[in-house]
Amino acid sequence: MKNSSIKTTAIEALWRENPSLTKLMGICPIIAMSSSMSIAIGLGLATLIVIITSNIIASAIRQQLSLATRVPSLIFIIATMVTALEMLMQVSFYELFELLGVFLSLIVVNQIVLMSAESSASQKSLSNSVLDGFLTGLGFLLILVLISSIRELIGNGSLFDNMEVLFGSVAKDWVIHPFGNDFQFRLILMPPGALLILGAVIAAKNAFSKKT
Amino acid sequence: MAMFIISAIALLVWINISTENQIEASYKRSIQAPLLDILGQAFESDAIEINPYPIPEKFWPLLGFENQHYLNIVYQNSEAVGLIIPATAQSGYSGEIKLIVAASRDGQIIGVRILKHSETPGLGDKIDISTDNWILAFNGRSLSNTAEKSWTVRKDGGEFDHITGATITSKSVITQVLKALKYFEQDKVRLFGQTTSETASL
Repeated sequence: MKNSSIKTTAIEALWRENPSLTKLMGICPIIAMSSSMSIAIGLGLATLIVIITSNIIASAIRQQLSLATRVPSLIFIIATMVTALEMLMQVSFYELFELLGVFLSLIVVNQIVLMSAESSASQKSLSNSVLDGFLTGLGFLLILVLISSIRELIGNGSLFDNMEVLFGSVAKDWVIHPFGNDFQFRLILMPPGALLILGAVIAAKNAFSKKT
Repeated sequence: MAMFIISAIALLVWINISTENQIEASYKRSIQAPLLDILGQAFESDAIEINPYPIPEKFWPLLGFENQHYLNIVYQNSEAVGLIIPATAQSGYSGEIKLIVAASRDGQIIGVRILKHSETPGLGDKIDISTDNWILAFNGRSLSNTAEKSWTVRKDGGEFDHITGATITSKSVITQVLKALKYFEQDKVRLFGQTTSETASL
């Protein structure tokens, strides 16, 4: 693949055709896990790892998969990866594991992961599958970071709060309060706030793409 | 296909076996972190040992439990110096409020912390130390320095402030802390009778 076409694919996957914003795929974890940046980044990275590893396996065994059993097999691969990740995460990121709760296991049913694995299993070469998985996962992570940063900033008046669950005790002082310590707008931290912010982001994206 | 499934299962079993011990250790650390936090400056932390101890079934209703829970006995130089009692307030505004009460040997409260609740954000969640200092009002209280009828909010003739807009939540926490102290009073002879950490951890 040439450099320029990688760039176009990247822009397509990350922004213009981002499945979360255009097809509203995987918005359940986006709504539930975007109240603070630390857990959003945690979930985004976990999803990214699952997408890449399951894409590699799906692509490696694509000749063995018959059309009839392809989707169940892919779900099996993804579930295996998620279970492995869950156990590994408990070793060194126990707090994050507790914060993500059931949404870590629910990566199994995230359509974005299955969609990416499906396209890897159907035709792509190994390197293309890895690239596709990386871009898809990064796109999902990007939306999570975007929405969670807006929600944390407006809802809690802070940014980078509680980052130590991801980066250890060095991250304790990363939290900033741009509007002072007392600023809070609780509605945005609750589920309706997530829908409002997601809607606003989609509207902004549509307005932006119409212009260009 | 069968080969593939078998290898996947083998992989998971292998990861499970090799991480089991570390997960156990992480779990233990996450359980102990709030306990050490609640004790705060009360004891010199390096000489402290915390050991779990089962709560007898007849006390479960008093502490709001329906199944087995463990209290923690705090030892300093192998001598029992305090208790950390778990309790669940069933009468919160929305659902259960899980809390722990740390008390020293003479029955004085060292601290109270909320472990889990689902109270209204912005109102009832002020029981949590991360949002408000209300919970610190329990520090230093005991059954002897606060009469039983004073264990309620000020507007009902008690000695505690209520959280604005969350009177039910406040009252239910206060009542449950009182019940935890009553449990302490009823069971303390048995618990502190075992003075060394060796006998209690058996």
